[in-house]
Amino acid sequence: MKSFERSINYPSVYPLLGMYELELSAPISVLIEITRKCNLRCLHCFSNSGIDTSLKELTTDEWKQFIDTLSDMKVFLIFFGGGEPLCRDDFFDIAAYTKMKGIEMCLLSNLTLIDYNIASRLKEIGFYKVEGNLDGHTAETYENLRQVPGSFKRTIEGIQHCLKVGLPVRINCTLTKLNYQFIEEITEFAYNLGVTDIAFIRLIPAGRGDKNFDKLNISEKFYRERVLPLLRKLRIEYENKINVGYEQDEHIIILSDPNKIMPWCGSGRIHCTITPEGFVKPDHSFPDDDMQVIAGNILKDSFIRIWQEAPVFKKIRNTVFSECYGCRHVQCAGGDVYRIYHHYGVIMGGRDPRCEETGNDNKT
Amino acid sequence: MRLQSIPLLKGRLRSERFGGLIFCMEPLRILMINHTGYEILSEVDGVTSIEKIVTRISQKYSLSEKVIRKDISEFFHFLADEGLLVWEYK
Repeated sequence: MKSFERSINYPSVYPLLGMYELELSAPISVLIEITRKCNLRCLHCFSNSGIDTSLKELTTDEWKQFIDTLSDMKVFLIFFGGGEPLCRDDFFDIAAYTKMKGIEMCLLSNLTLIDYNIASRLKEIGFYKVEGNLDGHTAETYENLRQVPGSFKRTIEGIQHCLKVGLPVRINCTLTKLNYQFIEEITEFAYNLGVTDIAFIRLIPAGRGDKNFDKLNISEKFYRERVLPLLRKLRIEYENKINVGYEQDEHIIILSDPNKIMPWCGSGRIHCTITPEGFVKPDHSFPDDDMQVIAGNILKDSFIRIWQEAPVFKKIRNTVFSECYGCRHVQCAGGDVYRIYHHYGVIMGGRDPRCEETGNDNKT
Repeated sequence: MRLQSIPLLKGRLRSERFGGLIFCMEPLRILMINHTGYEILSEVDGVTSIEKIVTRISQKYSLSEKVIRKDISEFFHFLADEGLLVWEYK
């Protein structure tokens, strides 16, 4: 038995949750990509969803067994994503089982399949939030990216149904060359819909987002010089109306983690992603077919062992770059794990190419 | 904070090698605690009073109740400030 410790403060090392001496026994949250089926064909989809529907996805029972494991490990939160989770007939069955096991749930959806009844069921089952997308304030802008006529109208209706039943909605807007001109209009539009949070996120160079990267991406220089100042202005203008969030802003990072214990990138450190076939990856951006990034498969291996011992996770949690010594951004911990992989072709192959201190400006 | 008050943790507690984690959805908070903090919060069950928790911990570690009471009071006030703990007097 440990002797009684008087101190109730944090451990003595600089605490960075999920890293170094503070590796976690289990993820804080898990993203379950429950299907690759999708009714949209978005140009920027990081998971290539909606094209190949021949994947052998986990069955209802297999997902439930996995939920049992997550419950035993005391995982706090599950994000259900895909693909479009509502394309699976057994989605509500699996979600209800998850809630019964005491795990909090958030749905990541394109919102187009949500009518009043589905919104009511989501609320009744116990989802605490739905995250959707609104990459434009008009059908033209939105559907240029989503590639399905009518999807704008259905997305708006989906948002309204969720709000009507009291389900909070966070809207993500992926910034691309197709919509950066309309940031103010999109914010105003989301606010008028009654959405409480809108997050402007950068394009991820994965899946179709990688294939169409040059066509869609706004450069790092342009983002920093033109877009970021506008987002900062909007955040102030809309204070107490709608929470405007975006990436690469130190003030927002501090606000979201006042205790400064979270690494900026949680991939493989505090969360991970499970593909429809059961593969375990550091996060959703990583490809399903590169074995160096696959930590294991939950149908073949123990998830506890995968999380605690997989070499890919160990590398992510314990790599320190010599260039980072002395940097004031301790929580950066080398940078975004996927961006590093995408840039160097290997896990933790070097410092984040977007590192602010180097002033690099490349496509990632 | 009265000793007869019943503390209630908002959110969930999990044991870790370094002590434990508190995860709370509303307000959204993740907090690391050491082994002592975990030990104390393991006693918080929505039924047991602060007084009983103090007694149990002091007996377990053979330390005076006065010392433990002060530590636990500080700890609980810290958690209350973070929005992670409430207590009620019945």
